[in-house]
Amino acid sequence: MKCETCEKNLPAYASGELDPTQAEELRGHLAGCAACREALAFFEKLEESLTMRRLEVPSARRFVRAVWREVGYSRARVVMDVVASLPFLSSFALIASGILFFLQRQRFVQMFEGDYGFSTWIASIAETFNSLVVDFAGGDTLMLSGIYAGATVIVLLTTTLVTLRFIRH
Amino acid sequence: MELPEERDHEIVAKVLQGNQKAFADLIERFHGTAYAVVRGVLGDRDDVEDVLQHVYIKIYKGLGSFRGDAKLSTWIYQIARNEAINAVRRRQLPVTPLEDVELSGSPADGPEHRYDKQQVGRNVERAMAELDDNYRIALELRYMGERSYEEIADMMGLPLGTVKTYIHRGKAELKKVLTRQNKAVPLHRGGSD
Repeated sequence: MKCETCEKNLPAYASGELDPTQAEELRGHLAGCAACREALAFFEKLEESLTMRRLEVPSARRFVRAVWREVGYSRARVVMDVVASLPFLSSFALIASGILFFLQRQRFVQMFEGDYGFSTWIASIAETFNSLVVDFAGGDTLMLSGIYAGATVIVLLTTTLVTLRFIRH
Repeated sequence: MELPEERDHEIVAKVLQGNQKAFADLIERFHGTAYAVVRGVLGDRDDVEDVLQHVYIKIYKGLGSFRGDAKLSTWIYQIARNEAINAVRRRQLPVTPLEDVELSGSPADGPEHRYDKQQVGRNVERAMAELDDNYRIALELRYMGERSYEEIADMMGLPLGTVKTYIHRGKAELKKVLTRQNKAVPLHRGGSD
């Protein structure tokens, strides 16, 4: 191998990218050529210096914050966007219902036990719905089971979807 | 790490839906690339970060027009490159002159020679300014942006072999520039078989 060929391959060799066969040939040349060994030392230091350049990249975060400032996205607006989102409102409604139910639990118990007629009202809705489904199924137990199973899956999927959207947001 | 192409659309869709975290993630992923391209065009100038800021604003405002014909990385590369070139034209920035530079620490220097990494870094930085734009951008994407040869080829729209040639020739050119400046490591011509 001539020195010109060796020098041409040194950048790739110094970064460990030279083909193994060529690398072996190059090592053979280097063993007997002080000038090319010197050039290799140069390229190795250059490689080290270039590799260190990644440390000069500044943090991306402040650029993102600056973009929000530039496009008028204040922290308050970000918070408002979250608050106004459907997943947030759904979750908020669910939690509020739970709290309301807990605080008014005695009243709810009375509703079902007393003379408010609330339990009768709910029972009548459930019965109407049930009879509609039974009529639709026409006495077919398999179809009836399918309708209820389908309704359950739809409710579960919707709830999961809303929860996931909220978490991602 | 490069994202698979199908993920590009998902990220863009999330940002367009107003998902700020998705945009922050997008910038985080391509920050090295964008910075490397802007540095590749402008060099180590004071306004690199200002230009980069414009690049990100342009990306944010232009995501709606991203049709997915090219990869997101390629689209961002083009925006960064155009924005940096425009900055050069607008301000007619002068080329940083090379000062006396030295890539120190060759074996010939002897044990008494102090190897100053920071100084070497500065010298390399200045020598980079003399390189051909394509060599410099390819080198910056490889080392500063930590991109693979394949990713660089995609972004620059070049064959893989050409990118490898740019990077290896870029290093050889850096050696020539640095050697010319200080004669520390003379080019060797001659030799043994």
